[in-house]
Amino acid sequence: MRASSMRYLMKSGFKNLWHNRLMTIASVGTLVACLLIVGVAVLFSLNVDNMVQYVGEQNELVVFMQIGTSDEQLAQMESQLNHIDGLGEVTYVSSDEAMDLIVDRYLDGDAGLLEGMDDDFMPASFRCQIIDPENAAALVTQIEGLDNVDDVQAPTEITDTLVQLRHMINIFGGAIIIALVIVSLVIITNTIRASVFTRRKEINIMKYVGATNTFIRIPFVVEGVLLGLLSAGIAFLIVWGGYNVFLDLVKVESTSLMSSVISQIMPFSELAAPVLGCFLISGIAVGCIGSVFSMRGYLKV
Amino acid sequence: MIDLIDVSFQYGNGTEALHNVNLRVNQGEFAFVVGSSGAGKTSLLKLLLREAVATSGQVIVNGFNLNKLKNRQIPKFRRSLGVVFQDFRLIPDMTVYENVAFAMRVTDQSNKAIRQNVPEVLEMMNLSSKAKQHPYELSGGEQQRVSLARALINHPPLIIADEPTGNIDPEFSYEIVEMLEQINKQAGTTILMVTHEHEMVKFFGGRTINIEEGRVVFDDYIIGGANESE
Repeated sequence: MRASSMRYLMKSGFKNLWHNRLMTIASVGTLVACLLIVGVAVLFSLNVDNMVQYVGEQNELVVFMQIGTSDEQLAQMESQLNHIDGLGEVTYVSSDEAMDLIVDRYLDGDAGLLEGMDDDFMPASFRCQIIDPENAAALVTQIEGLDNVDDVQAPTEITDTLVQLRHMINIFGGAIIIALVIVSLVIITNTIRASVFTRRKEINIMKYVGATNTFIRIPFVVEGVLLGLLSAGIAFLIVWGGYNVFLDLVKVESTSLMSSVISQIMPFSELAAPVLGCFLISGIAVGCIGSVFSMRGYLKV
Repeated sequence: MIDLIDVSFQYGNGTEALHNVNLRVNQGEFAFVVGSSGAGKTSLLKLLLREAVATSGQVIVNGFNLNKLKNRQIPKFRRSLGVVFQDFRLIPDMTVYENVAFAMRVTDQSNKAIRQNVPEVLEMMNLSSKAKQHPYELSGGEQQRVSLARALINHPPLIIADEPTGNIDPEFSYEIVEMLEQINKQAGTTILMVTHEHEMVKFFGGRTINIEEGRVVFDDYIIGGANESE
């Protein structure tokens, strides 16, 4: 195909957009709305993933041994813990060390208050890192079943919440995205169908003078892709602005308890590339597929 | 040029539109196709333009066997003929020049060729002064000349005209047929013109093919004469 023909076809695509500007505005509006919802879902899920990972890194469970457990049994326990998959570094904290910790932390170093207590007043314990927070609950159950274990403590609440949240987002997010892709396809198909309809006379003449189907189709594909690109661009700008506003809000209101988690919210600069990429690809793909759909039936004759 | 051998054509609902039609139009001929409405003229045109495929028999146009033509070869075939319609089929938001150029544009021809050929054809059709006007500013006869210019622009060896005078005032109708005859004589372009205006056929004379009830009932030369129509 000649360059001059290509230019002509591109121009026709732009013209189509302008010709049907009301439809263009309506469909860009709808597409932007769809992309915004997708964008929020993607941003949310990326952030929750990040938080789950962060919390996981902080996560450890503490295994308290029964009082009076012998050194041999403790050594055996340590090797057992070291062999459990899903546990990272295992640190042994003896009774004495635990006692020192209590004195340091709660009694301002004044050991006098505890005088007369047995040496093993505090149980020996193991601090174990958890590699994947999703396994925390299972690990707790498993370790509780071992000999001489008195209690296993793990801060599983935040982890559980986040893990559940991640599951929900993945399931709902996936469903929403599929639904929105269908909605967008219908919208784009309709818009271009309207444009095909206003140009049906030209298409008819093109068929009679021997234009190829590719030639007839290109302006409408151009139109579809432009719709997609335009929507992606606008949605990206809105998400960018909205996200920064959101960041400002949570920074002001964060309480100390959640602040360490909230500080893990990713800055937009880290998210811009995946969000823009996702928008552009879905915009262009939906535009292309929609325009091909809408041409069906008009290419006969 | 045009060769129909034992052609029958049935619509999907079983209506037989053409029955065992044999027809041959040679290069350089000018032929009228007449017949009352519903006689099968439209079906014949559909076959010739490859809008439809014959149920049986062979249709050969410009060396293309239309029974065997693949869909992707249709554009190439259509470029070998020019079509003129009763309703002109001009694009309203394009000027006369653009309407004619459109036929070259969409068949992937160079800007240079377009700039050269379009004014030539407009000149030939006496439309040079109207080049920048839109179809709605023109009379029916002028619009049909634009559509004729568009059919001629790619220099096809065959022009098929479907009731080209049907929407035009009588005084301009004759002008259109005269132009077709002129094209036929000067360029040797084969012309097949479908019409139901018997008066006009009698006036111009020449080869006349009469189709009734899906059959060719008359195919011969008639002698024209201005006196008969007066």
